[in-house]
Amino acid sequence: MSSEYQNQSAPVDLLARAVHWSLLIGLVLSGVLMCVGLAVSISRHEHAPELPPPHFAKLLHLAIGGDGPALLEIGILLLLFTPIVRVMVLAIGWGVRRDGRMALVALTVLVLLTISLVLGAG
Amino acid sequence: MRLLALLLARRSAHPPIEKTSRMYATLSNVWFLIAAGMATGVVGAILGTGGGVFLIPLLLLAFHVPMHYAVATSIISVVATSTAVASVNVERGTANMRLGMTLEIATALGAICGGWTAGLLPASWLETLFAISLLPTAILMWRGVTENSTEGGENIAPTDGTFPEKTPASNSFIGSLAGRYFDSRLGREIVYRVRRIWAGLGISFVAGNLSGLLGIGGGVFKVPALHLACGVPIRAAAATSNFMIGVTATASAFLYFGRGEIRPALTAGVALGVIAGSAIGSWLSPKVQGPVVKKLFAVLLLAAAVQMLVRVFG
Repeated sequence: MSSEYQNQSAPVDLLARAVHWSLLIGLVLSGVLMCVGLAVSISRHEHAPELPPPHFAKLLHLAIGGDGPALLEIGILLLLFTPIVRVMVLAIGWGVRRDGRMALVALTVLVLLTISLVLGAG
Repeated sequence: MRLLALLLARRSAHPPIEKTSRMYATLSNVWFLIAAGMATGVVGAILGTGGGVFLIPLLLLAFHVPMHYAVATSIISVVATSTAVASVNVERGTANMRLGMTLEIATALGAICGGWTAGLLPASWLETLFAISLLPTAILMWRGVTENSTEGGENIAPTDGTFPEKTPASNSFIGSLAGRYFDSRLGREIVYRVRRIWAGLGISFVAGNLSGLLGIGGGVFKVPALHLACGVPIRAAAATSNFMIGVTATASAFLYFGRGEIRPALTAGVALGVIAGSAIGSWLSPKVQGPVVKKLFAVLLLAAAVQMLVRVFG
């Protein structure tokens, strides 16, 4: 492949790059939280209570206090929010590019994910 | 050392679901769970699937994890795999983000319906449905409609080596979904149109529904469908399917999370294993005989399906 062709075929897509980094950062952060949570749970012999998931604010409070299972749950939630952030990044990116149709499509997906979140929380 | 047993033992907010004491495990199983996740990650990366079709039978038959927890664990693993692989595919340009986002409307809707339905069904129904879904999966795997098969799709790239600024008919909505990427194996640019978007949406809804209901990524159905029905080249179809799977799985995962079916230690152990396994599998992938491995695992899937049916009806 000639360098001229390389230049033509590899346009810098900032939106793709933003999506790449949003996914990577979410994955790494959630992975670190899950590793730490697992290590803390094992070392302290902690266990999740026999109850439905606690309210997010309480979960966060427990996680900040170094509770292993809470760290694990926050890590899992962070992993679940990563694709949502990716959809938000694309919605904003297409909006900035004045690509109204795709921004609307992304917003529709966001609405569906919000419905799922509300159903899950309810 | 009953950590895992205790970690697994949170009561569900959904009483009718069968969750028995057979799920209890010992701490040493944490390492086995990580190893199980790693193995499915490796196999998934080599075969080009999310790995859920292997993970669920493994959790169910080897670890005696109840079906709803196995499905919930698999869903989270699918999000992890998709996030890891999609971040690479998006940067490479093989994942068609516009097409993927459009089809995500259907997959997310299907996943919400599937995740909601799963909460109403007893475990034996889910196991039966899962075992039945393994049969076409095994057939598709045996036939080898994967990333390594023929490129397919209609390449509309100009032959003079220039990179088109716009694809044909890009003013229409379906035209704007057309994609392009550089295929390093072929050494040239692939530019393609998307056709029959309604077929793609319909198939995506069904795949999303199966994902939400059974905890699989659904790529084994979506990839051939995107390729054959929508005319997307197989590499782009695989990358786009993987791109979509994260959102699809997330849409149903919140429902499982709300019902208390996501067990923190079980899920985290398996997910971490899957992430590591996916990386190893991606490295191993070019070094193994793809078609032979696919046929071997197709037979294994059939065996798992039979064993699950025997477990339910036997």
